[in-house]
Amino acid sequence: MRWDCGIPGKDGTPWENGLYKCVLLFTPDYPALPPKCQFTPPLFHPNVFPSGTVCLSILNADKDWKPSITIKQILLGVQSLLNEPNENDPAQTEAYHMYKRDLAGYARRVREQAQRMPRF
Amino acid sequence: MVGRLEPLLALSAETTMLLLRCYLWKEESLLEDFLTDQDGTLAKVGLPEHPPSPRIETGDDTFVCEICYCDGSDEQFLALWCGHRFCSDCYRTYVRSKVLESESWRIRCPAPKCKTLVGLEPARLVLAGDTAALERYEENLTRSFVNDLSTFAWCPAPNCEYAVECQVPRSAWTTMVPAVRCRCGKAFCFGCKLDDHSPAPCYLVERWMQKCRNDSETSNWIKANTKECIKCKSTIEKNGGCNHMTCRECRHEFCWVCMGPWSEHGQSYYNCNRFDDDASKNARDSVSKSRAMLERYLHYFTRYNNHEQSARLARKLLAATEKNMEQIQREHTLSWIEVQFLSEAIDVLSMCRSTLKWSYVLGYYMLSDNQKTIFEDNQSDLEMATETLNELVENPISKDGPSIEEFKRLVIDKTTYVRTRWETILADIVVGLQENRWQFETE
Repeated sequence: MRWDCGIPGKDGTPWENGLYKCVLLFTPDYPALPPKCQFTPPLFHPNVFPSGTVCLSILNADKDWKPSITIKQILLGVQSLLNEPNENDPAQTEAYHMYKRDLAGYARRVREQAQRMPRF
Repeated sequence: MVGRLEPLLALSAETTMLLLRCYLWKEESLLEDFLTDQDGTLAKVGLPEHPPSPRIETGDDTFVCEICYCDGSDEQFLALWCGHRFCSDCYRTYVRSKVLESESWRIRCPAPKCKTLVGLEPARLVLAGDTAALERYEENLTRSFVNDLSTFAWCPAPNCEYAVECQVPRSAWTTMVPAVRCRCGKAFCFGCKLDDHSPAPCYLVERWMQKCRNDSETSNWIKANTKECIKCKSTIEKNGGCNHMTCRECRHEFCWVCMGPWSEHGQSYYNCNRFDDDASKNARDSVSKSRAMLERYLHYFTRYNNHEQSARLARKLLAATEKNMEQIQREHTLSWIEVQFLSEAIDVLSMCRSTLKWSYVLGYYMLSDNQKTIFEDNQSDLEMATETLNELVENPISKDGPSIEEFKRLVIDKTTYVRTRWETILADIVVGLQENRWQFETE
């Protein structure tokens, strides 16, 4: 099963005014196993793999996934992740290095990205 | 262990069991933590003192399963002591999927962020009726017991399902080999899981294996075909041109024939007549020193390798000997038990081969002194005896050879002698390692 979702960036962050499209892919094992969350197109974000897949502990069956976690919780979790990247789990080098070394440049890139993917 | 701790901690058997598993069966650290901070310890692992017996209950009007959103009074549900209620179908699916991922006691309540462990009793309760999952659950429990305990390890033999216990503490592994024998017959080292490598301790074996992987194949070739630059020690192969060499690494110019500096050679590009010059001599000395090191390594490696191959041959010999034993039985009307001396001899032979093989690793890293000389004398003694025994059992009985009675007596005598030597030497090495009798080369 495949759900097309859109996650808006939180206001007051560089992510604001953007709508980030992603798909939730459910396997037959759901809800024993979490759905896969993938941004299409892939996102410039430290915890998003080059393929677009999101690296988040509640989406990992070996970490914090529980079958009673709702889709709403997942989407809210991913929304929070946008502006609160997890430095301990980098998934792409480009965004991670920029986030660590050049925060201003990073924020600029994020704003540009938001403009390319407008909410309205 | 659970029975002993249960009254001491004043906890239920279930909680004690889970706590022990959480503490990887380290009784002392559990006791220490528990007695200083009882609630903290329990909270850390998400356990109550006395979990109520799990029951599958029937829902009421307020019941909603947070997983599948079924609700009402016709649903069966289960809740752990944390109070999170889920319908029994969802619970079963959840626990089963965890079990299939090889989980057992580490499964937690399906509620988000809830750390409560689904104990053994509740798990068995929800899986009741699903024999396959239940069996797998029990198997996972056993597996995690072996994996979590540092004194247990799985037998590395292919298809062997046994686990082996070894009480030799890790700290003692530098002076003795924690050799164990599995019920399947496999003898291995508990420390590194390689075949039993007595008497060489693990850390030397590791260094040796590393060295063999790096050197053994190439070193022969390098030795035969290259020289080292006197200045920077780069290995140089001369594949053409005159004797005037310029090292590509450090630009040192030297003569390939005498290894002396080229500046002293003047204009004679193709001949070297300065062989006895001091500078050339020193240069050759330093080269021969590094070659000597290689030579030394090869000395030990050849012997190590030789015993390994002989051990392989001995296994072949065993097959041949079994045939031989049948033949002797037939020809000399002896009973089965009367020809067992041959297979015994092969057993002793294999043990000695293995010990000798690894003793060369020990010897390689051992620094030369009187104690080493004694060690080597013992080693060569065992080696000689082993070779004689090998020769003896290898030769089939011929008509003009000794009679069968004579042959049997010879083999038994030699076997006994070799076995005694082997036991003595092995025991002596263990004692020697413990009392630091030998100095070993450090990295």
